[in-house]
Amino acid sequence: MRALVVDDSRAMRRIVARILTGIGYDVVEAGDGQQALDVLARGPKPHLACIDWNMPVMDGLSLVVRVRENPQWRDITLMMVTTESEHSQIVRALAAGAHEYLIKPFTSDSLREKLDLLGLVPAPTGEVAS
Amino acid sequence: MTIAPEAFTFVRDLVRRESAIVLDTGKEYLVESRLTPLARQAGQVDVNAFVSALRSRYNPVLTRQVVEALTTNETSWFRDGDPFAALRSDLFPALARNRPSRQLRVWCAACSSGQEPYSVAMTALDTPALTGWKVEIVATDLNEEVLARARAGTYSQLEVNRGLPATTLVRHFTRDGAHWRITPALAAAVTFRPLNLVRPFPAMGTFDVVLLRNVLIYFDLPTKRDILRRVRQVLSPDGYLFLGAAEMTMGVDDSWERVPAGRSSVYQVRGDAR
Amino acid sequence: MTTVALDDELVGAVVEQVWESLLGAVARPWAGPQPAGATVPTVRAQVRLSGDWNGLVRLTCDPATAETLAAAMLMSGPDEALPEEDVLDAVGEVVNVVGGNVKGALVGRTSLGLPQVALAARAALAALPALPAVADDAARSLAVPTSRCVLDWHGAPVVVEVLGDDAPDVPDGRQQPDSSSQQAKTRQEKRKP
Repeated sequence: MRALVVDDSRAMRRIVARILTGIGYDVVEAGDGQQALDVLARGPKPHLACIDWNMPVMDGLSLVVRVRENPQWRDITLMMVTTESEHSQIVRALAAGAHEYLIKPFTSDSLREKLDLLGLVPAPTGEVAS
Repeated sequence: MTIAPEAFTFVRDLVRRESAIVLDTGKEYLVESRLTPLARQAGQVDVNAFVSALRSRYNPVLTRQVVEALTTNETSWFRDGDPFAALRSDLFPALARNRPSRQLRVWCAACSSGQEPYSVAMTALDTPALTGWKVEIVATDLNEEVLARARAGTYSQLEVNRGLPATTLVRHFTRDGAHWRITPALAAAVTFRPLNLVRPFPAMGTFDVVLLRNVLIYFDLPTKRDILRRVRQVLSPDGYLFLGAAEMTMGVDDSWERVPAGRSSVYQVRGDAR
Repeated sequence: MTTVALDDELVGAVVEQVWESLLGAVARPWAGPQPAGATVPTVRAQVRLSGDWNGLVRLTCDPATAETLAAAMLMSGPDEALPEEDVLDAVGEVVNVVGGNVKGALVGRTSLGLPQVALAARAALAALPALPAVADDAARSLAVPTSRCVLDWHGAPVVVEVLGDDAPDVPDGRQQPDSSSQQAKTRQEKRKP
């Protein structure tokens, strides 16, 4: 399983990447929405993208819209991981095409539970086909 | 003061055994800060002394307090997902076919801070077969303090991050300052009242579904047996009983049979014991 | 529409949650003497809120404290010395998360800026040019905080403040960091993963 972690904070990318790596993901990182689009264009396609909202150059909401516009990327699961926490913001992100929404601050348990809801917890090593 | 490794291990094992919630290594700070008030209350000099006392003599009331103190922010919505998926896809529709009154009653018998009964309420509200039905959820707990929290229906950011799908969050909660508040529809579906499972149950009527998850572990065998017998008396003949994922009636009360429900399993009273 | 009081209780509740989940620590109130103005050298991270409510959320601590905060957040081992850039980034993310949660508690539409982090030392860094973004912050340090909460981080104070733009100025007597000696980083400068 592959994941793309998009956040302008290196510290936050490191935290998210460590949790994902710990449950069996290969993680690539991007520092803003535009970088994320570049990474996606290069491939390989990730199964999951964890996306911060407020970032320079291109914010996370715009990234969600751009990813959703591309039919080739339709099967990537998008999860906002952001400190934006108003009811209206969550509704906006879901309407734009995000599948899940994790509010910062979060614990590693809550991130794992969100992945569980999405059916994106990789099987333990040895049972994964390819 | 720092908590001694053996004290942490003991507390972690206790919490895992009694609530099926796992406190990872690194949560030492949490154990220390949450147990300090309990240690003071118990007249112990610090958490290590408090844990030693807890180890030397089993105290069910104190044990429950310890578990509750440590599971705040660690309690998930739709915990162990499968029972709620089974309610929505199988059990609620099955019951709906046999209830011309269009009414269902559910009992959450150890509701703690309310995540379980509200999860049942959200499941019922989101089950198409129950549209327009009256679903009444009675939620009970021994501890008045957690009942007050549950009744208030406000949860921290950390609490709503636990296992609650975002679509469900925006449908059933609103922001209230630093917290999230359940909608009036959800609040109206659940009634909270104090109840001690060990004593005879008060008059509560009959239930179609009973959730008695991760609570029997607190009791010895004869008490478990007695509780299950009395639960049988308040469960409708075609009703369902949920226990915790690792709990069984086998060897405790053989009037029950385990039946599959979705990816989960549930208990029903055997035909000959009804 | 109800208004939400942007008070110490709200900020305290936000800080408590951020400390617990992001830093794996209990937010203990600082019991020592109130830090008068900013300590020098000092690390200051801030994020701007603008819209129906305008102001800053900012965090101030000394550099050694910033390092241990970052180490707790990143769970870096005792042998791993974090580069200064990572320390400042981590402190910036702390204030970003606090700011976002404060914003989330407010009624109305308010947007959150990108965090800015500055390491200021009156003498040692005097040669560094001032950056406009931080000069703005220096002016703000004269404002009375709308809410101020001082935490104890392993024996050192960490100040978390919310400063509304309409807060009245304090006449005299408050120290402020020297804006001519600050090194500022905003997220734009360090985007490369």
